[in-house]
Amino acid sequence: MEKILEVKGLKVNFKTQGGTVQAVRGVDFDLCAGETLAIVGESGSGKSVTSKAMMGLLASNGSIVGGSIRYNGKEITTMKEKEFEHLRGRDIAMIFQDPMTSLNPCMTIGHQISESMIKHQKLSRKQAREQTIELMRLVEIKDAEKRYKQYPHQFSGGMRQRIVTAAALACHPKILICDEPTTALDVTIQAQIIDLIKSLQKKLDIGIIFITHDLGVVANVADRVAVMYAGKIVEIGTADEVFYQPAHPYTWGLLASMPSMSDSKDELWSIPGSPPDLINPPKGDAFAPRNRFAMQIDFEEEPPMFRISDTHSAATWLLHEYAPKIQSPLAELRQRR
Amino acid sequence: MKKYILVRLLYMVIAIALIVSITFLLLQFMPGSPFNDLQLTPEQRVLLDEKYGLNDPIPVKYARYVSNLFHGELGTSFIFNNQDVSDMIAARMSSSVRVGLQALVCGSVIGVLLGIVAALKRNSFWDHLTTIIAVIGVSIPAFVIGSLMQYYFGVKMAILPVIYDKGNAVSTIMPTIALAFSVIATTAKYMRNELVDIINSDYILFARSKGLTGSEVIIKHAVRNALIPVVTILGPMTISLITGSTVVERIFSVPGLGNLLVTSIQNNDYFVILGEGLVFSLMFLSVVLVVDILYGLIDPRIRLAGGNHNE
Ligand SMILES: Nc1ncnc2c1ncn2[C@@H]1O[C@H](COP(=O)(O)OP(=O)(O)OP(=O)(O)O)[C@@H](O)[C@H]1O
Ligand SMILES: [Mg+2]
Repeated sequence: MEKILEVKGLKVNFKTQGGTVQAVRGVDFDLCAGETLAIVGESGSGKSVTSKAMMGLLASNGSIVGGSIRYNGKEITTMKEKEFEHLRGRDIAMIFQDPMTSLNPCMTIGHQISESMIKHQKLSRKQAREQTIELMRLVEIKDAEKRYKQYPHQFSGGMRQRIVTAAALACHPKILICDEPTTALDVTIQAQIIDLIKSLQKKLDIGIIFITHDLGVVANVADRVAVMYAGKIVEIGTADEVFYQPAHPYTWGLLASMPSMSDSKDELWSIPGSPPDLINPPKGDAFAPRNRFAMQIDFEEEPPMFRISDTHSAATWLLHEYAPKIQSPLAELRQRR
Repeated sequence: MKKYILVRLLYMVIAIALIVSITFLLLQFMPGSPFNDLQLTPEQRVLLDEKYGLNDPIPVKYARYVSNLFHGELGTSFIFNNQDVSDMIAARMSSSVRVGLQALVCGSVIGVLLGIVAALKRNSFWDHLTTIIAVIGVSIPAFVIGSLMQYYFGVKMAILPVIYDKGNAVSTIMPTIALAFSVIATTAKYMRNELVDIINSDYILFARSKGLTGSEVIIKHAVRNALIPVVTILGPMTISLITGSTVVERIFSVPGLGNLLVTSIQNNDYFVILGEGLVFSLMFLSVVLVVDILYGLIDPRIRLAGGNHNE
C-alpha cells in the first residue's frame, strides 16, 4: 500500500524554566492511505506533541530537533510557514480532544466549517455554503440549513464534535489526526463519534492517526497500534499482534489494566510507579524502574527495536536472543477469566 | 429585550433619585455658605440667606428642590448672577464632551492596538512599554501628566498651546492626552490579557489547523473575541474620564463641566453642584446601559440566552 506519511527519528524539545523537556525522543512510524494507526500511552508520553509536530503547530517554546516527517515523500519539518499553511486543513487535518473548547464561541458554525474551503478551494461564499450544508448532512447534523447560522453554544458536546469533524474534513484531507476525540464525551456519544469517523474514513479514504489512552477504543478502530512511553514508541504492530502477542512489558501492563481484563473480584491492575522526568531522562530503558522483569542491561543501555514480524516490533531487551524467555503475565490473566 | 430595557430604565430612575437625595443631604453639612465674600457685611449676608431660603429646615429645602426638578428646573446659581444651572451646564457641555470623546476614542484605539501588539509579541519591547504605560496610567493622576506636558511641550519647547481655546483644535491635544492616559492604560492591559488567554485557547489552534494564516487567525478569531469583554470596561472608563476631567479642565482652563464643578464646590454653589451631579450620573448610567445592550448584541451567547430564540 502507498505510504502517505513517514516519520523517522522525530525528536521534539521544549525549552522551559526548569530545563529542556525532551518530550519526543526519536519516534518512527508510517501511515498508509486509508488505514488507521492508533497511538496509545499514558498521559505525558508525547502523543499530542507528536501530532502537533506533524501539523507544524508546536507551542512557541517547542521545536523539532531531529528526524524527519515526510508527507507524500515531501519533507515538512523544514517547510516554511507559508508552505505549511497550504498543507494544513487541505492535506492534513486535526480534531482535538475537547469539542467544548475547539470551536470559536462567537462565530457561526457554518462559517467555521466553511473557513478552510474558502481558504484552500477558493470557493465563493455561496458555493461554500452549499458544500458546508452537504457536509453537515454527511456528519449527520439534522436541519443543516437552519443550524448553519447557529453558534456553538446551541449544540451539545457530541454535536460539536461532529461540527469539528466536518470542519476538519471540509477539504477532504488525506490524513486526519484525531487527538483523543472522544475522551471528553460520554460513552454512548463516544461510540457514535467513532462510528462516524470510521464511516467517513471509508467514504473519503482517509488515513487516520487516532490518539487515545482508551484501549477499548483502539480495539474498535485501529488497523495498527503504536504504544508510546516517555517520548518513544516502544511497540508497534497490527492491532491483533499488539493485543494478542504483546511483547513489551509496558504493553502488558497497559493491557492488564484494561477494565475488561480483570474480573470483578480482582482489583484493577495498574502499572506501579510513575513516568520518568523528561528533562533528565534516565540512562537505559526509560521503563526499567517500573518493569518487574527488568534486567541489569535495562538500566544501562537503551534497547533497540527488535523485529518480531514484518509488521511487529518492540523495544525491550527481553526480545534479545540471550534474554530469559518470560511468558507474558497476560496469558495467565486471560486464562483465569 | 424591550422589557429588559424598561426594567433597566426604572432602576436608573431609582438610582438618580438616590444620588440626588444623598448629594443634597451631604451638601447641607458642608461648612460655609455661598455668601462668604468678605466684602459683604453681616447684615447683607443675613438678607441674602433669607432671600434664598438658606435658613429653612432641610426637609423644606429638599421638597422645594425636588418639586423644581419635576418642573425641569435645576435652580439658579448663587454666584453667577442668578444664571439658570441648566443654561450653565448646557453652555459647558460641548467643550467637555469634545475633550472627553477625543480622549475616549484615541485612548481606546491606541490602547487596543498596544494591547494587541503586546499580546502577540510577549516580552518584547512593546509588551514592556504597555506594562509601563499601564502602571503610569493607573498610578499617576491625570493632572500630574497634564502639568508635566504643559511644562515640557507648552513652556520649554513651546510647540503646543498651554491653554485650551475652543476655536483651535491644536489646543485640545494636551488635555486630550492627559485624559486619554488612563483610558490607554486600562484598555491596553485588558486587551493584552484577554488576547493572551484567547491565543492559547483550543479554538485558535483549531483555526490554525484549518490552514488560516497567522494574521487571519488573529484578526478573525482572536481580536474580535477579545474586544467583547473590553466593551464592558467602557463604564468604569467613563467614571475615570469624568473625575479626570475635573482637574484636567482646571489646569488647561477648559470651560467645561469639570472645571465648573470645581468652581462651584469652592463657592458652595449648591444648585450647580447638584445639577452637575445629576448630569454626571445620567451620563454614567446611560453608558452602562448602552454597554449592556451592546454586549448582548455582539456576544451571541448572551444575545440568545436572554432572547426568545431558544431551541
Ligand atoms: N509547551 C510545552 N512546554 C513544555 N513542556 C511541554 C509543552 N507541551 C508539552 N510538554 C511536555 O511534553 C510531554 C508530552 O506531552 P503530551 O501533551 O504530548 O502528552 P500526551 O501523551 O498527549 O498526554 P495526554 O494523554 O495527557 O494528552 C509532557 O511531559 C508535557 O509536560
Ligand atoms: Mg494529549
